[in-house]
Amino acid sequence: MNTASKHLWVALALLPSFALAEGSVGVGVSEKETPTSKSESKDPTVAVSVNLTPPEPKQPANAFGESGPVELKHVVEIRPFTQAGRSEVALFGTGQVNGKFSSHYGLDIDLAYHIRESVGVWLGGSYVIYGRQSSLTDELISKAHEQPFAANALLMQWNAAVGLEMNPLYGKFTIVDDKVLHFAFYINAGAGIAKTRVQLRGNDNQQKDAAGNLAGPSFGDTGYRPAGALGGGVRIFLTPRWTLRLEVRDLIYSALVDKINGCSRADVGKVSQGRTDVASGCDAGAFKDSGADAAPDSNVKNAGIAQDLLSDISSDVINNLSFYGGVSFLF
Amino acid sequence: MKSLLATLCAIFAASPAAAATTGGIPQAQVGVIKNKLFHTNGRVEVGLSFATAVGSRFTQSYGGLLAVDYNFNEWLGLELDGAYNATSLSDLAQKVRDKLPKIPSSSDDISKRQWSEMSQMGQMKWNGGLAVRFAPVYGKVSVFAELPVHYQFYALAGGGVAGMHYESLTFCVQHAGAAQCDVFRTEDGISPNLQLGLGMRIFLLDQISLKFELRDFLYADKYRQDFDQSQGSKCVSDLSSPSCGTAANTGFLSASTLLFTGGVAFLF
Repeated sequence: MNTASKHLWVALALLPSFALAEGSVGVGVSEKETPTSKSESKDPTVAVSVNLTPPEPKQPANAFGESGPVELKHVVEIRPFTQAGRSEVALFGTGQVNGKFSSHYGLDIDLAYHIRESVGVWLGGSYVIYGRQSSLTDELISKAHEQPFAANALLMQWNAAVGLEMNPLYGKFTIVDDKVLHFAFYINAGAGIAKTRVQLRGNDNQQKDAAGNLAGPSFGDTGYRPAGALGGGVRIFLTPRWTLRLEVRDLIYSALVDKINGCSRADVGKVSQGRTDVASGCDAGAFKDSGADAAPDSNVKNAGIAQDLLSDISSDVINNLSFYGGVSFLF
Repeated sequence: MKSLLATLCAIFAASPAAAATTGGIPQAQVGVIKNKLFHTNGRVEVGLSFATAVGSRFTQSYGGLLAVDYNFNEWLGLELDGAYNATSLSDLAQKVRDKLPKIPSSSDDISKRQWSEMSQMGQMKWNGGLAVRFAPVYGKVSVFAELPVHYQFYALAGGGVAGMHYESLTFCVQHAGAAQCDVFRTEDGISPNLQLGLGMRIFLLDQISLKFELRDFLYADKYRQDFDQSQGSKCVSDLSSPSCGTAANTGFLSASTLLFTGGVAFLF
């Protein structure tokens, strides 16, 4: 047992009635299991055991069905690393895990303040480095000549949220019976905004630009959406200040797609015909590919795809479930 | 197989970890987690789990998985497992089928007649395999600050064979009219696979524990491309006709079926 964990063991005896309840899940400590605790109890700095053996001579069977005298103890450990009153900055890499029609990979930075040991507030933001329609969507378009509704394939560019965090569970584990690591489960919830867009030209589209190179995917802006965040994860304490963070977070945002680049279907139809008499608020120029080598008719082609996407006004609630893996620093 | 097991047993029985002691007490029985109540060393384990596919594109699967393990020590074991699944196409697959373009006629341009099947349409009907299980993480968590729950995390890797069923989403082999396809192409076969998994065991009693796992079965994908959709009736059982297209050149690990399993394990 390492030195740090030795100093953090505090043994407290609880009421015999509670020990009975423990027996049902196998945590009652029998005489057979006491060598470790006995040796440690000689050193008061290592562990303090208080034996409140009840007056009744007969004890119930322990977890292994053994009857006879049972030393009824309940060991409550003090958490070795306190969070209360500390701030935390965390950096995550993120990857979508439920991306049927879309794929998102990015970075996230969170700031948190732990008001109490089990309650905190957080403020965070994510930036999507790679946000594209999925290979499934590409395959559907090329092989089945179908594509998901715009709302189903809405892509997120970034999001920001503020929320609360709770730490209901705390525990520890060993790796190959050697190193003890302490951890805390947490859940969080928040609200914020998300910037969204839709993909117009597919990832494997063969359209070429003015220089003869593949033009690559193109996108249309679909604006800001209110977003909610629900997550759960584990904070593994590598040191008193550094933690490994593993989390799954569900970003929920509404997706009613009735305009692309601010243009209704009627306006998009006009852009696809090369016309410029569109309503105010419709950014016809946004359909044109960016860059010096952009094909001159790229706005017409992109608007044609947008017109297809808007042929059925679609709405949905997107659940962008992502895995977050990173580190945090407490200060 | 017997000699292999005997060799593995001898290797792990003689390993330094198995022989290590702490204060005269075998380390496996002491550990660094205080009151490590549950041990698997040298025990046989039988687990029965419910299994369902997660993250599949167009298929769904529900079934069961039976696993028999021998634990060489506290963190290493060998597992023989078998699974049987009831599989079908998902609702999304049916929606895609409903919106497929009309079946072309033989007089249409080749670009309209030449179609390809979707990839990753494999349905794993059954599986049998052998896997090594490595359980390096043992811990306990305090629930509601009072109730310690002991658990173990483990990873597994192995291989085996699986009975696969493929049902095409696009390759129509029988249709009465152009509007709707009556029968789509199917294919059955046996494929070797690689199995990778992560799991968690929650100890309830010395002999009973709950297990939750994610098992990914990786295998070679099968689908055809560039077939003539107007000539599908020629491809019901014999795919040698040029109008039946060509089998896609896929790698050994080009498709996968991810199963979530949850069940109970008995230690003897």
